[in-house]
Order: sequence, then C-alpha cells, then structure tokens
Amino acid sequence: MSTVLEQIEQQIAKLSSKAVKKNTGNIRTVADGVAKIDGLSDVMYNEMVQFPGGAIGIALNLEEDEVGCVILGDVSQLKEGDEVTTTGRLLSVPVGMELLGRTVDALGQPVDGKGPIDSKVTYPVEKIAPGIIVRKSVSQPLFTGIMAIDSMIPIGRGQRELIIGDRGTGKTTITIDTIINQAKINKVGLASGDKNFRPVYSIYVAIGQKNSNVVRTISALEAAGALEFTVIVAAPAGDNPANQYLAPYSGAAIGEWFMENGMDALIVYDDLSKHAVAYRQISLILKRPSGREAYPGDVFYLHSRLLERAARLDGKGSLTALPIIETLAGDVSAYIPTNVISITDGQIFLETDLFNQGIRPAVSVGLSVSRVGSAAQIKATKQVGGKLKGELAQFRELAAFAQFGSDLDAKTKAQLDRGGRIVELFKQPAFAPLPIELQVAVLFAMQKGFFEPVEIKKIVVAAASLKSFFTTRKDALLAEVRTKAALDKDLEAKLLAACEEWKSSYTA
Amino acid sequence: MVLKAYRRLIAIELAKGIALVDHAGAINSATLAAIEAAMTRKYGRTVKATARPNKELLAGVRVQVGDDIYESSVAGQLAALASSV
Repeated sequence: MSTVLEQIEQQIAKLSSKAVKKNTGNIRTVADGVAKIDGLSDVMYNEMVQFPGGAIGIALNLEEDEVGCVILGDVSQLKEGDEVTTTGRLLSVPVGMELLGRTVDALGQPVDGKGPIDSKVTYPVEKIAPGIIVRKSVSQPLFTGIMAIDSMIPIGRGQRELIIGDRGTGKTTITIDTIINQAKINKVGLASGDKNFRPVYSIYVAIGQKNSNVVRTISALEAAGALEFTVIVAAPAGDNPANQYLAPYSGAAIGEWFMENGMDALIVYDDLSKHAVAYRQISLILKRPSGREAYPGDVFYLHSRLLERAARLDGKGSLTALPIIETLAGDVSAYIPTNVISITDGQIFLETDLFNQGIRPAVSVGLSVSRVGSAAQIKATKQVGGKLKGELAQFRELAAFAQFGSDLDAKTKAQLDRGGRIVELFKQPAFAPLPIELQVAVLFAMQKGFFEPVEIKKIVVAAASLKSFFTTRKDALLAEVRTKAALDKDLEAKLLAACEEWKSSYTA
Repeated sequence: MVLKAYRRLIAIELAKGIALVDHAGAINSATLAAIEAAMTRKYGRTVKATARPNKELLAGVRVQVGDDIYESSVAGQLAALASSV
C-alpha cells in the first residue's frame, strides 16, 4: 500500500502546471480492428496512438486527409467520433534477462500469470537491421541436436535457416528440439565454469497458432528444463491480426537485446505463412492495393526486414533465426515460400512421404541446404560426416532405380545397404536432441563399419545401445571429443577401442 | 457525396483559424486576446479565440486549434496522473 502511495506522490511531484500540447483526431470509422481517423496531422509513420479506454493503435496509413490505424487491444468500446491522441513514441517492448522463462504477448505484456515483468529496458519493435560494416561472417556453430541437420545441413550462429514443409511434418518439433539442445548445452557450459562459454538464449514466437499448441510447446520446454533459457512471444489464432503481424518484430526486438549486449540468441518464427496471412488481412482492410494471391506489394519487405535483423555482429553477439513456412502439397514454388527461401541462408525441407514412412525427422537431404553453416561446423563432424550428404543423395538415386529391377550387382547392393543404414541411423525421437560429441561417436562407428553386421531393421536399436554405452561408460571420452572438437590420431584410436568394446558386448 | 467531402475539408481548414478555449470558471477578454495573439504568432495565420465554458475541466483552460490541443486544466492533469500510476 505504501508503495502505491509513494508512486502517486512521485507522480504528483512530477506534475507541472505548464500547458501540454497534444495532437488529436477523431475516429471516422472503426471496423475489423482498423480505425480511420480524421485529424492527427502531426502523426508519424508507425507511431503509437492512444485510443480512449486504454487501447493503443499504430498509424500505418498516412493519407492526405485521414490516418489508418490498426488497433491493438479491445475495440468493442470504441465508437465514431472518439478522440484519438498521438503519443510521440514508437511501439516498444520490454527486453532483458527478466523475460527469460516468461510468456508475453506481442506488446511484451506477460500472459502466463506469473506476475509483472520487472524489466528496465525497452526496445522499439521496428528497427533497421544492422548494416554491412558491423556484421561478421558466420563461423560459430549452433547445434540443433538433430544428427541429420548438424552433420549435413549445419547451422551457424547468426544464420537464417528456413524450416519448410507441409503441415504435420515436424517443423515445430525441429525448432523445439533445437531450443532444448541450447538449454542442455547452456547447462553443461555454465556448470563447467569456462569463461569463454557463450550460452544461447532462445525466443519462440508463436504466430496464429492454436492456444493448445502454444501450451503444448511451453509444457515440452518446461519438461525438458529449457523454459528458463527461453522467452515465448505468443500471438495465437484468437488474437487480432495486428498482434499477429507485430509478434515476430517484438520477438526480434527481444532477441536484439541479447545480440547487442554481447550474447547469442536464437529466434524461432512459427510460422511466417500465418504472419503473411495476418498482414494480408490488415492490408486489405486498410485498402492497400493487392498483388499476387491478394498479398500487398510489400510482402517481401515484410519478411526481409524481419530476417535481416538476425545477424552476427562484430565484437557483439549474434541472433540466429529459424523461420518456419508451411507449404501446401509440398509446393515450395508458391509465393511466400519462394520469398522466404530467397531471403534465408538455406532451408531444411521436410517431406510428408518420409514422415509417413517413419523417417523422422523427415529431412529431405536433396532439397535441404545450408549456405553458410559449413564454415561453422566443428572439425570432428566434418571428419566423420563430410561425405554423408553425397552418399545419401546417391542412395536415393539408386533406390529409385532399384525399384524397377531386383537384379543388382554387389556394389550397388552394398551402396543401397549402406544408405539404408544411414537413413535408419538418422532417425531420432522428438524432444531428444543428441549432444554433438555423441553424434560424432555414432557417425564414427558408422564410418568404421560397426553397423555393417547389424540388420537394417535393427539399426535404431543398435544405435540406441551404442549411445547408452557411450553416455554411461565413456563419459570422459565424450568430454574429450567435446573439448577438442576435432579427431586426432589419439582420439580416433580411443573411439575405435570404445566401439570395439561396445561391439563385443552388443548382441543383436 | 462530393459536397459532403468538400464541406468536411472546409471545416477542417476553418478549424485551424479558430482557437476554442474551454474554461472552468470565469475568463476575461484580456486572457482571450493573449491566447489569440499567441496562437496567431505560432500558426502564422489569424486565429480567433472563442470561449466555451466547460465545468468538466474542474479548473484551468484547454485551447484547441485544429488538431492541436493545449491542455492546462486540472481534469487533464488528473487524467495524466491516472494513466501514469
């Protein structure tokens, strides 16, 4: 109570009798979350405006004699003639470490019932992306914990890697796995006391998703102990389109704080297809001219200005972006997918067929690519997995031909067997990311032929056995792989000996 | 339709030349003249002041010229206080 009184007294002390200038306007029409306003002659583009009843709006259309605003908040109390005031401020969200473990809406307000967020700093939602001079090329790895990705389509800190696929192909799962893996790495790194260790903080932006899905994601992160390193920005399907349009930019602002303050962050936009749809809705209501598929002309800029904010800054931190795009019937050549593919530094394409065949994560090796990530891959992974992508591509080609005839020469059959084994080896359950050292050990065993005697159907079981052998009995060796990050002769000999030991104890 | 739009635009333009002075309590002609002079100087056009009693302000004045409002009333200060606490 006394603090409330103190606050009121402080505010009273600040009051002055000087006249305050306000620029005002009046609502002419209000419909579908958009208000057309007369007046507001001083309003700036993207400025916050104050509606009666506490709702705020953003001025998006500055026309000759009226202003078009999207309204964030309750529109039911607004009516024609209501007075609207400019605020002179751009929309900002609270940022900082205080947001970790919290779920906020597009305006940075907590929606998780855990009380107010005590953040001292705010960042503008819309910000110009870092320029050329301040950037640094991607050279540090960001491990997803997914073997197929870390070995063949590696991602680096500061990269933008698109995750694209039809509905129900495991796009969100890949990103959640990645967030969980960052939390696991953070815990190990922070416990080690290594001064050079750089934790990765995650931001998950849910756009236009069902509330139940958002809850499921939060539960999965909580169960894996990853929520304490994560900020969730939620603009679910029930939110108005303006909030869904703003949520990714708010998330980017939260991520930028980590980047600007010398830390590394990862941001997931789930998903940008729904974001484009929300923006299309706003644009159509604002009567902006529509183009292909009724999207407005600036739909490319909508995503390019967002994704350009992910960067690795010289002398500061980085922001890695994993945008998600949902395709229809695997069509990557649709409007929004091609836009986002061209903006990002590569894509991970997930296929429905693979998913239905039980190959999960359903990563299509042929269509997936990482343009800058290989520079960030650690040497150990390159040593054991450098040729995997080519081998798998060859396998797919051969497998397609092998369907037509059963008479295959021994060499082809061996190649097919090997490919089949790699595919099985890459199968991984959801929410169980693998540490990079364990990935190296499994791939090393595969390259040295330890899985050759195992039947293809039993590879998953054998791989699980090898993983548990290494984690329970060869912890020191794994730690050595992790710290050295490259396989020298000594380490190779140790790994070979460990694999032999596993082989002698393993019975299929 | 066209005339309606034209009328609205004229009303907006005319409002820029009128200073609507809302006041709670008495206001003298000298104050009005001072407001007129100040606004004429500020906007670079002749601004005529019109007094309009408004008890809701509690005390003080509020001057409106076109879209701009100069708030110096107790009601305005209370509203600012309410929104900041």
